[in-house]
Amino acid sequence: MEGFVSRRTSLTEHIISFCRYLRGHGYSIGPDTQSDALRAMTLVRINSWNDLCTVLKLTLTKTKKQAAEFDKLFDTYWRELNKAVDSKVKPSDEAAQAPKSSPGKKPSFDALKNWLYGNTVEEQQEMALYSDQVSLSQKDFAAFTDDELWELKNIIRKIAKSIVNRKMRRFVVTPEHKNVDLRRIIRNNLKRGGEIVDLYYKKNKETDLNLVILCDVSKSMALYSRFLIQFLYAFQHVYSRIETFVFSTSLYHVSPQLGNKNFELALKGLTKSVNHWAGGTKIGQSLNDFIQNHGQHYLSKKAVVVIVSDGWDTGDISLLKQSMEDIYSTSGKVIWLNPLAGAPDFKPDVAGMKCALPYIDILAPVHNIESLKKLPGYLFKTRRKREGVRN
Amino acid sequence: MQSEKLSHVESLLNSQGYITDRKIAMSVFLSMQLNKPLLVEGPAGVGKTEIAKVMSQALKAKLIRLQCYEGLDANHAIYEWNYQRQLLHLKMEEGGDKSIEEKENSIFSDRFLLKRPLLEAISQEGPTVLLIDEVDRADEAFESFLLELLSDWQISIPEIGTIKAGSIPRVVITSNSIRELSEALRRRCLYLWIDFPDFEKEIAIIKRKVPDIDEKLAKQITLFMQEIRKMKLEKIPGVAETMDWAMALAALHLSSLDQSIVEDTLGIILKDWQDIRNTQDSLSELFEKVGVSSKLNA
Repeated sequence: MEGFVSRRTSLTEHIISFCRYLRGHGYSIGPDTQSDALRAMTLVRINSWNDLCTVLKLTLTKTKKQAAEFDKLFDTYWRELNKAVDSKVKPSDEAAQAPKSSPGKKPSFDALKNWLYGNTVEEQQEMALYSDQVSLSQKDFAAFTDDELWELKNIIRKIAKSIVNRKMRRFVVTPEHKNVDLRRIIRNNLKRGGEIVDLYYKKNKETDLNLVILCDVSKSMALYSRFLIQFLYAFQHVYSRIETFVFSTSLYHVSPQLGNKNFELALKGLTKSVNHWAGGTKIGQSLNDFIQNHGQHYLSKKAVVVIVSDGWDTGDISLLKQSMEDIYSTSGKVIWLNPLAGAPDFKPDVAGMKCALPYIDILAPVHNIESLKKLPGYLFKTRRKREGVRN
Repeated sequence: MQSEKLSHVESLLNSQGYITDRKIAMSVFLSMQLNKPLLVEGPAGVGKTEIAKVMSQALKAKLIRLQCYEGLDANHAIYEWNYQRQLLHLKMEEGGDKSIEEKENSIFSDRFLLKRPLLEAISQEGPTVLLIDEVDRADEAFESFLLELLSDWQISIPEIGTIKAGSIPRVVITSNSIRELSEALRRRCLYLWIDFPDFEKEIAIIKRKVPDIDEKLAKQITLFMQEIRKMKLEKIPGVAETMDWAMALAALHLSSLDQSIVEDTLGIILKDWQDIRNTQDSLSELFEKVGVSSKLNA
């Protein structure tokens, strides 16, 4: 019930009730902020609505989003307030809310009602306008337009960076003045007769994760592959210890192509070297191919294998099972990202998915940005005890 | 009387060559009056840092700048003991008859203390403007420390004791929103979002900084910049780039833009190879919007 407008007599009261109105719109305005606003009002001689708006905006908004919304909220509030004044609300009747005291269903009070009952369509649209990040992050990847893909690229880059900067518990020497490395100081200064002259510092080692990404680009994944390529591309660029493969009926190592600094050239390189875009799926065959030709090189206990696929396999299921078992036993962790897993009624009952399931450490959805943000968490979680997995 | 002060701030900013609008002037004024740090966010190159510089000049205060970066820690932000010097000092005193306590007192004194920006700002006598630049680059731990400093204005050094600020510095914090800042920090600050300037403001800035520029050229440059910012670029050029470009073109004694000039000088405003290529592709389209006839088409 924060959002109501009733007539106030003094400016202070108006400001306070305006703050309350803002709180109803997601602004967290504490008493300190509120008193700042009031103090600011006494400091500036306010000559116009514009001045009032600026003063309140400076004191009451705390984020870019809030600042962007503010002018509109300000306008709406004072406009409705003026109307409320006109419609004979008695000053003594302060508790009475403007919408209740007016029996006529004037269109101007629709807005008031909307505040009372919370979400309206209009409001949601406004929100979407001002915070791309929020609206994008809930959207299914399949539904992105070209324009949004561009925004998406920047978000993906951020996520990828956060993975790279992950710190580990182990220490390495660093020239930066971080933590004093006592052990090394004492050892290395022995040659100076035990006099401590040289100082050594240590810092947390940054992640030494080797990533292997196997991405399904078959027909059934076509809706997602546009986005997935973006993801793979961004990832390949911020993180050097990553090898990327795509497969449909056969497997292609695409890290060299993705390494191209220019995204369009990278795409061209990809289309040239991958012959089976949006073809059928032979996951088992492709995974087996990976193990045979690249396994020796890329599979180790330090490697995390990320398979991105919906699990629709038209090939040999037993081969898939065998390959998954091999990958599972020779890698540090196996993560299967399934774009379909985002649906609320998802069950991994596709044949391919079903037989691979025992050899997956984490099965997670990748259908929107929100799910993608969880990826760093999966990558760094330690593997469960072996015994618990197979049954 | 109070609003006289506001206009005073406005004229101060103006006299320092900072083209301001009422919003910025008011935020500077209010942050001074309310004694609250001013948190300035906005895209790169819109003059966030400049606010602090102009503020210090206008107030004739000393400007102390702390540039934040990844891994910034207390040693670099607050203070550090000059370890090597302490060691030498001890060595020199070896064999003397000073007691351990005396020695300790001497090596943990002001002489051996390296003051980093935050301690520096606190221990100033006169008026100070403390600029904490790009706070979003530092990590969250540093941000929480900052909170403590901003509310108590004191720093405690275990060996010496607590140092309290003589005069509370004016604080300007800038951020490029690389990382979301904490709610707590935001709450303690006045918030100002500066966007790219609109046409009038940008052209005023050009004329102020490059006084001998041709009127028509200035207008075309501004229009061009306003249009180019609407494109999807990796790095959107800021006012600083506009300035560079205007200066360069003015130095060439040009009176208007044409396609070949723009093509040759695109590197001044765009700093990304991909951006330059994309812009070159759509140059004639851009020219149409700006209203300059491209000579190649003519």
